[in-house]
Amino acid sequence: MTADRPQRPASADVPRFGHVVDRRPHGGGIHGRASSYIVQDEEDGRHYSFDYTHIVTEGFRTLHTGERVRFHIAPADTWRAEFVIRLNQPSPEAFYE
Amino acid sequence: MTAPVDERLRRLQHELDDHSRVAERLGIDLERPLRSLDDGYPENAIALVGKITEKLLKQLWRHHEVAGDPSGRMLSELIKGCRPHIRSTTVLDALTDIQRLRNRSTHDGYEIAEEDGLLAVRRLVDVLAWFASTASPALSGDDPRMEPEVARRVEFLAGLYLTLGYRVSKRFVLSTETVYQLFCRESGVRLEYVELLLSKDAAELRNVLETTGGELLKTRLPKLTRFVVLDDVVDQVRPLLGQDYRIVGYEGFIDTIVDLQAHLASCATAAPEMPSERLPLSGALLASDPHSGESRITEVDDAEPLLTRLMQESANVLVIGKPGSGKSTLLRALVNDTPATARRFRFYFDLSLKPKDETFAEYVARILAPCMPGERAHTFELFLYLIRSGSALCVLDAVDEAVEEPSPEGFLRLFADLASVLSAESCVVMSSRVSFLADSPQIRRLLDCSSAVSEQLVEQVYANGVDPRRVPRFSMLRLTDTPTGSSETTSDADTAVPSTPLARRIQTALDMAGALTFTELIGSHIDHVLANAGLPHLAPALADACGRAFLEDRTVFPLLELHNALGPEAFDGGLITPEAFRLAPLFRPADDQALAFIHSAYQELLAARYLSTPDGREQAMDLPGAPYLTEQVRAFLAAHPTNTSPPAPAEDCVLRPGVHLVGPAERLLLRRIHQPVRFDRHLVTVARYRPFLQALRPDGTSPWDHPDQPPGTTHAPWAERLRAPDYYDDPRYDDHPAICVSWWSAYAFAAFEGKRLPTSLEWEAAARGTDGRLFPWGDTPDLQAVNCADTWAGRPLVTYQACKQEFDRGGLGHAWVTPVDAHPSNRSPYGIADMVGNVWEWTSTSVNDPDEAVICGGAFDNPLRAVQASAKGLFRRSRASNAVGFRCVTELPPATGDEAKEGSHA
Repeated sequence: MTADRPQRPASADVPRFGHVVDRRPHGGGIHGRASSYIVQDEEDGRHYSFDYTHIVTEGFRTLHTGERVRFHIAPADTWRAEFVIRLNQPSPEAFYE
Repeated sequence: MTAPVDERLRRLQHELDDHSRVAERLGIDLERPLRSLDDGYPENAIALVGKITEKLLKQLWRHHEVAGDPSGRMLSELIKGCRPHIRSTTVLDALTDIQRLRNRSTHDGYEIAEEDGLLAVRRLVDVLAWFASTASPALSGDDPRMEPEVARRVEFLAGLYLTLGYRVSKRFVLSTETVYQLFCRESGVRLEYVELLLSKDAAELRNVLETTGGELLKTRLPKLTRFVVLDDVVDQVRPLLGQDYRIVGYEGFIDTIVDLQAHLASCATAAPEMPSERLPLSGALLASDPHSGESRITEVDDAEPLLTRLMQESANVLVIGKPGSGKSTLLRALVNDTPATARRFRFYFDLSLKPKDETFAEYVARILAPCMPGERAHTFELFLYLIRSGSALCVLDAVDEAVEEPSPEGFLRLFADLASVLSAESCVVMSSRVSFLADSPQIRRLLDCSSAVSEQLVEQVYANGVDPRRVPRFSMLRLTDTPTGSSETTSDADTAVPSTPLARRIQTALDMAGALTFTELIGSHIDHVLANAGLPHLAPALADACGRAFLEDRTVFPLLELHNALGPEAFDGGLITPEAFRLAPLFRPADDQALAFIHSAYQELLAARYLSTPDGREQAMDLPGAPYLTEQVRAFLAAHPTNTSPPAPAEDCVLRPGVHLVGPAERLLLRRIHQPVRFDRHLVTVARYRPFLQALRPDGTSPWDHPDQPPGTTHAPWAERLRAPDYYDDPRYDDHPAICVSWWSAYAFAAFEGKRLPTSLEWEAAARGTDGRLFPWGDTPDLQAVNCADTWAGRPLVTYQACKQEFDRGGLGHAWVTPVDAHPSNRSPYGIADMVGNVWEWTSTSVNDPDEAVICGGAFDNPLRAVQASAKGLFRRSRASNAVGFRCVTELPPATGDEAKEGSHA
């Protein structure tokens, strides 16, 4: 733990990895009635929030607490995450058994 | 300690002494691991070797200016960061071994033997030996005795011979510009020697030779080869050297080992014909700055000069484009036309010809063996060294066709194989139809760049794909269509006006006018060639033989096989030669006595023809191993004439046993339906659900509940979440889908009606039919037919990013469910209505988590891409949503399926 914290590249282009730590039934979407989530960056422990419309998936957009995701930090607001990708989805064949 | 180990220890000690210079400079004590081994503590020895290796790598890291701070990083990270800058695969293997041993020794429960300790030290010596032998400035610092350019050449040549299995016997730095090296290797019982005298200045060399009186050259060692390496081959030095020296220019030195002309000649025969005139190919380039991580997309009018420029600067590029977009032609031009000032050495591999059971390394070794006559044992290592050091250009065409299994995992494995050629100095161009890079905003932007709706619908994006930041100096070039002028919003899946270079070429060659789809063009060409040869009746045999072969992942056909499959009439006079083959215009030579199709699309069309019959599908299902299916095959199948007629509205909604093409674009599969079921024509409506509500017990449960249903579950809809609170009371919602009901409620309702929920496979088979169409009505996106985000926005959004923008603008605020019969053209081949869009539909299938069920079909707030027949999601069974409804199926006795089969079309 005496190592220096690795320098974070300034760009929002670089993806971060983290786990979903909280889910609230409100606070997201334009009406504020959609679910919102909190993700914690696994490298530096910072928290970011996002809602279901930031989940990039062609399936139904929902997440579980504890799920590992890859995300980008919103260029405008440093407390928001966007372009959230679920990393542990089952492989497609599993849906056709 | 045992005697043999003692002996090896002594030898290692001796070798380590040679590397004292590096050790001194880096402050490493090479003695300590040896002492630990001597004292009988191999774990300590390994730990010390690990630490020394970390120090070496940190030095390398700083020398090559890798982004980031090396201090505090772990061994694995250091190896990853330095990997692109290490030319030798021997060193990379040695580092991997050290890492593996170090990991083992830090885990409890693993026995560490003396062997392991010795191996670790041996590997460390291998690493040090490389850097010392090549006099690389990375570890030992710049050698003040040599001029930088000379030092660079010494490093390259020494590395070259080390790769071939030699070791450095002697090195004399005679002056700042002249160096003598002697290499030696064991070959069986003999010793082979190579002597190199390298100089930048012929006059100086003469000077040196004269002053030493030629002593240098008079040794008593038997020599196999002696070279004098100069910038220009000049005669003034020749008299001094005597007979047995060859004077070679530095730039052409590799010619002595690799016969480039032979390789290029063999490529020329196997490659498709180059078009007579060059047309500019437009595209978009994605490149990122290695230090800041920022990426940028640049539009490009003509891809070829851009690619040539990138190659001169040394870059690794992946070229992506749909079939026929001109990728192979572009890559071949790079190999043929590269100016002499750029890399002289080019290696070209058409990976679509690589057999399934051959690895990339084996394939390369086999193709290059004829042009490296003296060094067959080291062909692949030599190839890797030349590429990794940047001395040669490597072109890998049709990388996606070399994948063993067309799935995300398959691509990752393939890329892991290919990654050995990629380094910080390498110059590698790859082409692929599929982008297997990890999904990110930049990749999406690149893929969405000016591409037609039809392409966006089937673009494969991988969550866990290859990370482009891990690939050194990486750029991605996407070839885009030339603008057709026609509106892209409602065009057919095959663009109405052929816009790919291949399509244009065929249309011109066949002298066909009018707007033709890609399917029609390829099909016409095949039929045309068959007709010209007087063999139109062979069309089914061709589909059977070659179409089926595609599903078995075979693209190369020995002439004998073609003769047996098509009969002697396919050959002039019965002669089994490529020249006598009557269908030759459709093929190109792949090998001695073997042919491949001129373009993969031809074979894919034949595969689609094969799959268009029920028998063909059954046989394909029975093939050992999963059938190899690509998006192009699927597109051809969906466009096949027997499949394009719309279903009659009175279709009976029965899904019959048979083989269906299912799956998303990145994983197409054939699956069999065993038992016939009748689907509800419409989603379960509010009106249909009400009787069930009235039959519930006071606590909301029912006699039809699933045995695992959690206590406290009620089948009353989740009223607080419903967008309209009176949804289940107001008669105007009677024909709207039943939403905000959980999976448990859907299950119980189905049982209440004497039915059940469909499985995920049944659902998709019912939605797509047997021909794998994208939407129930066909491949054409039709906004009028579906309730999705695009319809509410009033224009095609298609992808996630467009949909997100619309959502943020507030454009989707009114999106909600519509009546279940609101879209008459939203019909499956079996007459089932409104399967895609409107609401997701519960199925009975669970995947990994029994608590989650698969939902299908997309809903009102998804973009077009997510309302395809293959769209799937997972949703917790106890949860409910405005966007999730369901429909039921009735099981039918098997007899019904057979009877009905006789009367209906396939």
